[in-house]
Amino acid sequence: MTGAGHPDLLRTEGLRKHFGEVRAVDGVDLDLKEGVLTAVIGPNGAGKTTFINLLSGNLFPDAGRIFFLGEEITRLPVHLRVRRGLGRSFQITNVFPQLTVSRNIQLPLLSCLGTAWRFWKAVDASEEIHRRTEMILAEAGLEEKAHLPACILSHGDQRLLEVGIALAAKPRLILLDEPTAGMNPAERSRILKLIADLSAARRTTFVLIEHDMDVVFSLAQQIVVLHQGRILARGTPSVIREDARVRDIYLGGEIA
Amino acid sequence: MLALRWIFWLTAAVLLLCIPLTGERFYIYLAIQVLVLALFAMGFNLLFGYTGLLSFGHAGFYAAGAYAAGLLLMRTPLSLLSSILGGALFAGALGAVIGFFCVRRTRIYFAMLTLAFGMMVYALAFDWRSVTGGDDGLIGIPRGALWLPGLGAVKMDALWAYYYLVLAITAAGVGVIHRVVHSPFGLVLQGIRENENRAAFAGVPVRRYRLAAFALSSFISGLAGAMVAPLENTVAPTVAHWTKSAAPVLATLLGGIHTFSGPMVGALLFYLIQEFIERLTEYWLLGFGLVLLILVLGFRGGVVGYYEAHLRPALWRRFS
Repeated sequence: MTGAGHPDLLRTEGLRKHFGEVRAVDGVDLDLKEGVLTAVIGPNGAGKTTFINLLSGNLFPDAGRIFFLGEEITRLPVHLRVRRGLGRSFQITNVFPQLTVSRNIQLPLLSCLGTAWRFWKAVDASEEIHRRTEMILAEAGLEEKAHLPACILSHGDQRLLEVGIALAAKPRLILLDEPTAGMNPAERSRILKLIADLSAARRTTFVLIEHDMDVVFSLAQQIVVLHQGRILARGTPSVIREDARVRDIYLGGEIA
Repeated sequence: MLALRWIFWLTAAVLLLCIPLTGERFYIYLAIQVLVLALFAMGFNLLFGYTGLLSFGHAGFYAAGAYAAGLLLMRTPLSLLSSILGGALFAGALGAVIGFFCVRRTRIYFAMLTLAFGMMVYALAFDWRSVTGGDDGLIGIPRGALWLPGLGAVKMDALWAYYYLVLAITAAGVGVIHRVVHSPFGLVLQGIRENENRAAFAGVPVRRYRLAAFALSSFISGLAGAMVAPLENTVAPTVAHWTKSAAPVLATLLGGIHTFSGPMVGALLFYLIQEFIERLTEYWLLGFGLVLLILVLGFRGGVVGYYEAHLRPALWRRFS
């Protein structure tokens, strides 16, 4: 992952998903380079979440193809996409509520090291798992809470934990669905710093859906605007800021 | 805290080892029943409490173990221990086949599938006369002797001798479950229970893990059933009846789903309540239902769950 990023990290060709009459995703061609932090924006109902669900494998498309690192993954099941390095977080917080914070991290670590089938050794017996758990907890700033059940963490900490779970699977690409939703300002700056640091260190590439334009314009290196299931515009933040069509769909409000 | 736990396990072990000293056949027999149900419920709870799948068909695997062990003892020269293990393996293999279909669904659909398969096992036990003996069942299963290294053949005719064998097998089975639930595999099962979707996004092939848990759970349930064949010297289709599937569900609910020892404590309570109420009234099920109602409504998480959530913290405050 050091040096030049993979030029063909993720590519979609004519991706399409309809729900009855609703064309949630209606022919999206997109390619992403490794190391470029991309934000997907668009008004409500633009198809952002459906698009992410197609990429992550929660939904299969009606038509079109998806390639990850040059290989087709259009109909690959979720867990195999994760093994290849495609992770995600969810719009609604999604952790293992009754397990402790460190167990939440250990589960993907074990599963992606291929040692999760071991049934005769204690989880805590592995030095490497222990070390890597500590590392990820430190990155997410959750060391102090390692032994608490995830369900009693604050909303912001749960979202950080979710990013930690995604990180533990050693992803090349992480899809984040509204990572800052429902957070207070302190929590928000923590998670944004985590994303910015990891991205700067070239540990992984982020694609995020976000409504908060401050976040989008401060963090993203590239912005993709979805509208009615299609890509309306794509470019650097400064290009998007000046785009008349984008201003139109947002009524000039938020982006001005 | 740790000390309390050790005191509990040590006391339980001493009591269990001393039961045959009473010399009362009734107590020894009852203790065997409790041990068998304890192991049955522990196997069941691997699927229910740890993986989050409620099976209503576990009597099928219990019976598979009992019939297979009985047939091995009657028709092959296999020793007692090999026959019991053979019964458990047969139940595990049956669980792998039935589980293959059941893990395709979850929640109520999973429960209904297991119920349906459980009833099919019952029908087989009842109708396949040439193998199972039909409604008479298998009759005249020999208990045989146990081969122990250094001691040779140890006769198991005395109930107290067989009791110790059941105790040893149950302890070994519980030991295996203990290791499994604290292993990476056990952690993955709990993750699946907590959040199936997130588990898939942690790279877990969810269905395959569910199948493995199903087969292991069937193996343990079959092990419990296999110990009953040489005990009673007979196996009848009633062991496969769906009402038998309710026993581990009730024991687990009484003791506590999300605790390791809950199903064992529940098995003890199950028989204690039954014995106690049977002395008062012939309608013991009515009384049992009432007790269950009170425990489920009043002690959510079962007796052990209640202890861990309320009593242990209180004890801890008091003695520290």
